[in-house]
Amino acid sequence: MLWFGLHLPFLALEAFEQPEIKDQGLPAVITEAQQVFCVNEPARAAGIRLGASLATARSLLPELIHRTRSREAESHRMERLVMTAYEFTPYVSVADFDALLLEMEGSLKLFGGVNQVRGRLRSRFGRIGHRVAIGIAHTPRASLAFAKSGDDATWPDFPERSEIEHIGLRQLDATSLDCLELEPKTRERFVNMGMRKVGDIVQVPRHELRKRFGEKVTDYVAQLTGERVDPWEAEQPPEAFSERLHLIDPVRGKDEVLEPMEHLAKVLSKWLGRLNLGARRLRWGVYAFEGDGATFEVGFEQPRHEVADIMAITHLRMETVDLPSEAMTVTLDALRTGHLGLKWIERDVLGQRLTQSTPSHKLLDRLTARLGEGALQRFCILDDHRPEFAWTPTDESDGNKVTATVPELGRRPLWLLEPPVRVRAGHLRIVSGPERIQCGWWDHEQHRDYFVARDRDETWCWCFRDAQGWFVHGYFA
Amino acid sequence: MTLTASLLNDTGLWRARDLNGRQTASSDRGQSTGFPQLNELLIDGGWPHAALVEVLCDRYGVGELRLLASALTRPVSDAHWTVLINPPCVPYAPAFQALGINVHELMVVHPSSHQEALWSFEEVIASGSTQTVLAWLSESDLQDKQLRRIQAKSKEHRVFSVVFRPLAAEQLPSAAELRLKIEQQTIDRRLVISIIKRRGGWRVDGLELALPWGPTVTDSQRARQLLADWERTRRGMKAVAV
Repeated sequence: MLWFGLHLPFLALEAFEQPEIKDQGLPAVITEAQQVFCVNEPARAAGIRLGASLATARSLLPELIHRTRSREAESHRMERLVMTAYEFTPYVSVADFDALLLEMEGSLKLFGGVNQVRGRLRSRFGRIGHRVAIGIAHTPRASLAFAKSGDDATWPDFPERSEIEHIGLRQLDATSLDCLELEPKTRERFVNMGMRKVGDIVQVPRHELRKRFGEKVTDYVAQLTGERVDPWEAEQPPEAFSERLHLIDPVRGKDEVLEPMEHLAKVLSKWLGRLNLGARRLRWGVYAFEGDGATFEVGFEQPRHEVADIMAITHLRMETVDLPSEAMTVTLDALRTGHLGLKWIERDVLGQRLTQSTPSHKLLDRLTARLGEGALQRFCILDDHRPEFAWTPTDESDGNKVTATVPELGRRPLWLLEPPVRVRAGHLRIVSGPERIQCGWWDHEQHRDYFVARDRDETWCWCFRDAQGWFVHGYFA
Repeated sequence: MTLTASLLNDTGLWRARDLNGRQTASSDRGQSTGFPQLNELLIDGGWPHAALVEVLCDRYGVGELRLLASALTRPVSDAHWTVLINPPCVPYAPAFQALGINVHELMVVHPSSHQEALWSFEEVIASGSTQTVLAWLSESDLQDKQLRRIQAKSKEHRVFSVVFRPLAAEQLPSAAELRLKIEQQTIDRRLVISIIKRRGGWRVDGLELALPWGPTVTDSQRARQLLADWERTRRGMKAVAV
């Protein structure tokens, strides 16, 4: 096992995503219970320390930007970071509010070795606005400790198992106690005993350690070194996509609301891409401030994952729905997704991703989006003698092949009346017949004698007589 | 090629001397209608590949689909859908299959308004996934400029589109390239039609086309006999009841 511990020391700040703080290097802090909880570089340079009271910090730096910590924003951000980490490995665990664990042994080859992966992780997280410290070790706890210490060991690109353990243990020996997940009191006791590095603790016989510091600390040390297994449950990628966007300023009108919708479509597209899925059915919600709003669904004939495709159909669908005049919240749920099999995605010679969406699928999507669900009808033939049961509407484009016996040309009318229309026998001039259709004792039993007749308008019709009387069932168009 | 020759090859031009019957040299492009007399009268030698065609009839079941059968079943490429917009009845899938149309490629659109019908008509034409569209539009809402748009779009996207209109529309101007009126269907499976408007020619009245097939008439004698028997039984039962 090769564990990558990712520590995000500035997550509390980054979760607020204030571009002006980052770009212009303005001093900022996050406070919790009026105490400084997270400090950025400019603020630290001004002498503001963690744990200082907000009043002290502001007296040092009157122009200091400060926000109250939002655990909600952090955990929401963490969910996104987990999704990002999935790009590297399927084994991702959330270790703490600001730390992630990735098991990378299986993915090393794919990403070209330990050092490559480390660089890629850093730049990938950097692109979405996060500074991340990475620790690599043979146990999860040790990798987290290394991440917090900020010391990088030199690693070969493809280490052997024994080598991983060796490098890990060696680095562990030199790691300061400050980086461990110990209670401050416990750490102080270690320091008072003259133990400052993990190496000092590891040498202490375990039963001694247990006697003085208890079960918890002993287990933790054993997990650090790998003497004791330390299972972590891997996060599962969310099965469903459900995102909401709260706007700071309300948007008015359909054109303006398209902008936040497109943002959500982009998030959806990324989520779909990661899971190699495409959307088949989406539900949009647009809500006004008071909470009342409108929802509408859009469907796709083929799984779709591209923002442009999704938005084109959404746009069409929006023409027929009434949206609130002012929107404060936009939501998007993926109700049904489908796998983007090889059938849908191909790469061209240059490695560009091609989506194979045929014009007919696009047409179906557009018609359904504008006219509504029931407006399109397609057919499938069934093997049944009863005319009503010899066909069925279907919504699958490439449904079953026709296996049913096809009637002889001229035996059946092209137009069918659904339901059959009752007529007076005197209006019909029978030309040919009868053809008895007696079938279906198991569901809708029919006893009918069918005739070809001409009605008073000289139209050729297909009619039948049953216990109730005469009916016209179709026209030979 | 000289300028004259190239002009003559342009199907947009027709020579006055080719009126009534004789086709221009380059015109053998259309899909055969299945009726030799009709082919001869059409400048393309058959159904035009890219045009709006009007069929005027007051009733359904007068042979209107059999008249168009060859256009419905023409060999298909990628553009495979046969689309019916707002048809008066349910297309009976097994019969369409028997006609040679793959029912999986048959699509019916049920628009809820005239505007939606026109919108879907244009969408279907422009989609590049169909060669044939048949539409039944609301006559009271239909305007000439709407037909003009559809004719232009059909031409642009090379689609054979058909609009069914009542006989009363004969007197109204229309942008359709070809207008046919179904006069009557005789008992011996003959369809009498008039060409109200065609490219490269005048009106033709009373054209008799022999429909290739019709309702299968098996044994009319027996049917009448049977009906007579029923009638007698019914009367008999009434008499008993009295």
